[in-house]
Order: sequence, then C-alpha cells, then structure tokens
Amino acid sequence: MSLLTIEDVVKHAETISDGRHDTVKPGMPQTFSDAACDGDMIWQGDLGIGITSGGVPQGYQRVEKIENLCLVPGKDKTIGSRHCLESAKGIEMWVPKVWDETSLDGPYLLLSNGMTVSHPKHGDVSVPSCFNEVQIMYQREYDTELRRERRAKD
Amino acid sequence: MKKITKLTKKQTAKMSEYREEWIAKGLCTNQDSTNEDFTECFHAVETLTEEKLKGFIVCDSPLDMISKGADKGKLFSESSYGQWEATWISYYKFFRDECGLKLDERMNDFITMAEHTCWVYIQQDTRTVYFCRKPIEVHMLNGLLNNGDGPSVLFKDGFSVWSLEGHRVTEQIVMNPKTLTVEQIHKEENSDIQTIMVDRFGWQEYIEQCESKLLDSRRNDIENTVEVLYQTKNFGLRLFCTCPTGRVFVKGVPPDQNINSCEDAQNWLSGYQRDNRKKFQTIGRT
Repeated sequence: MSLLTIEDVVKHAETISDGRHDTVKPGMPQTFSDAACDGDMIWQGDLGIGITSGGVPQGYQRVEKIENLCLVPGKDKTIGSRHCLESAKGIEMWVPKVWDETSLDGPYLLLSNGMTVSHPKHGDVSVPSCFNEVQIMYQREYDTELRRERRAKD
Repeated sequence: MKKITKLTKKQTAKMSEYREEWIAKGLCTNQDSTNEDFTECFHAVETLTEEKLKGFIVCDSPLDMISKGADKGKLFSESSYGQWEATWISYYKFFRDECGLKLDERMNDFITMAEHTCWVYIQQDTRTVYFCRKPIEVHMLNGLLNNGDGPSVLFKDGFSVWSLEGHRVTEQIVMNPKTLTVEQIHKEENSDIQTIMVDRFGWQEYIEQCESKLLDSRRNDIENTVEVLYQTKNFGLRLFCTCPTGRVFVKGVPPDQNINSCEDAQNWLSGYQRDNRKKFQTIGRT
C-alpha cells in the first residue's frame, strides 16, 4: 500500500474546513461516554482532558477560589481565550506548585457534577457527572523544549 | 434598589440592540470627531480624575501619542481605551437605561470618550491629556481580527496591527509569506501562528525546503486525523497532521527516541510515555 503524502494531509484538512467531510465538522463538540474508562483522554487541540482516579497527585496545591477559568498557565479569562472551563460551579481545582509554560501536567479537577471545557475554535469537551476526577495535560513541543535545553546549557 | 433577578421579555429583546450598537461603536472608524468633541472628552477626563488638567493633544495613533510626548513605558498599562471600552460600557448602560439601575453619573464620561476617542492617556508630569483618534480601518472575520491583504487595524498615520484568525502576526506573514524561512517557522512558539505561517508559505514548499523523506503515514480514525511523518535533512523528524478544526499542524519530534511511525510520534507528543506520569490513552480529538 502506498504511503500518504503532505498533499493528502492538506486535502483532508480542506475537506473538513470546507464542510465537505461526512463526519468531521470544525468545532464539533466531544463528550466522554458514560462507559469511558479510567485513563481515557480527549484532546482539545494541544490540551488533553483525561478521566482519572486515585486522588490529587503529589506536588499540587488547591486553588482556594477559582477566579481564572483558563486551564493554561498565564492566560486570563478574556474574550476569545482558549481552553477555559465553562463554569467553576461544582469544581475543585488543584494546580501544580510550579505551573508555568514548561509544565506538561496541568490542573487536576475534582468534579461534583461534570464539566465542560470550551475553546473558540476547537469543539467543547464535556465530562458527564458520573466522573469525579480529571487530569489536564499539555502536548509536548519539541522545538520549544530544544530551545529551552539550549538556553539552559548557555 | 431591589435586586434584579429576572429580565422582562422587552428587556431581553433590547439586549441584542445594545449588543449591535456597542459592537459598532467599538469598531467605529469614522473620523468626524471635532475639536469641540475632544474638548468635551477633556472635561470628561477632568471629572473622572477630579483634577484640573493643563490641556489636550489629539493624536493619530498610539505611536503618534508617544512621538508627541506620552510616556512609552506607561502608555500601554495606564491608558483608558475610549471606544475599546465598549464591552463593559454596553452592559452598564443597558442595566442603567433599561432596568433602572442607579449608576454614578460619571458613567456618561466614559460613554462620551467611547463616542469620540480610541486611546486616552494622561501624562502626569505635564498634566496633558493625549487622545488618540479612532483607527481608519478595522477588519474582522467571525468576530476575530483578520485581514489577509493588509493590516487588520490601521490608523490614519499608517500605524498598523497585523492579524490573522485573531492572532497578532507580523507584516511579513500577511504581505510576504513566501519570504519566510523554515527557521522562522520553527522559531514560532504558538502552534496556531506556526500553522498560519506554513499555510501561507506553502506546505509543499516547506517539505521541499526541508529536504524531507517520507517515512510513514496513517489515517487515524480514533482522532479523525490524517498523519504523515517525514525525516528532514536539517530539522529532524516532522509529523504533519490534520486537526478536526480543518487545519494542518507540523510538529517536531526528537530523533533519538526510536520514533519511526506516526503512532510513535503522536505518543511522544502526548507525553504518555513519561515515566512519572499515569498512563492515558487517546479516545478522541476535537
């Protein structure tokens, strides 16, 4: 079987953005099924939302009052901001003690009635109320990690 | 005043009128504010600050404010934004005018400035107010600043903001994307902007300039993506993948981790294999 090429990738993306793809639509929401398992993760672009259990990991601290709904460090909840909780109601948020642009692990969320993460371009991701613990993760960026390593060596 | 807990149907219907009116004010580009209008704005500033100020200067852009004496170090953090304050003004005005909420009369001073100015800054040492005129062009698409043929915000003196899909970008990306270099593209840390850069530069051109050899490809039905993995001559391994938003992303992956397939590359990007991390598996992507 011949390999796909960059042209196939670009064409596939165009099919989606033009609305011609039969199942994938831009901004299509995703909801975890009630039958989802511990360890299942849905990616909203470069932010992973994973069903988990076992309690808050070591090295996390509780956010006393959730004033910023954004799940990415250093970003405010402003118009058009990315990867934000739709609401803080019923959510206890824990964040890594060191939570900055180098972090690969994001907030750990304890839920009493599910939650939704919204984004202006990607679809919303919803966790139903049968799940109580969620781990947020970030996709790795090789070029950025490489630059950081080089800077550290200098 | 009694706490408002519910809006009437008439009040609810009015909300969209306020929304349209104040979006229009926020994006307004007309240049017809007169010296009398700016004098009125000057008095508004005096009322708001409860200070006697020396006078005002009308400028064509934020850059012009600096060139005429406004402190560059403070201008961005200490300015009021005139028409760009429209978001909160619209809410307050709605509840004041439609629901009878009693507000400080100084609210009208913000409304006056929103009608006639863009940025407003007080230079403390000279007690001078700097007013910036509204921009002459504002281009938006789907509620985001966007212009693929010129500045997204243009002021009278040529000072510009360049944006695509709501992201602040450089003039080069908008006007001369073919002059971008692969190094510039890889240096960009924001994935969305990087994708915009390659989109405009050309994906095929990017592959050719990287002197790439195709290693693997797959249709990933779990994530609804199509992926290809290339080995490049000077920039290591690059995974190209579609995104359910209808865009293409290119991601670097390390050369020293036995990554030979798209699946390996995606696993590295997800960070699932890090030793200290609980194991996850991807079941979807949006």
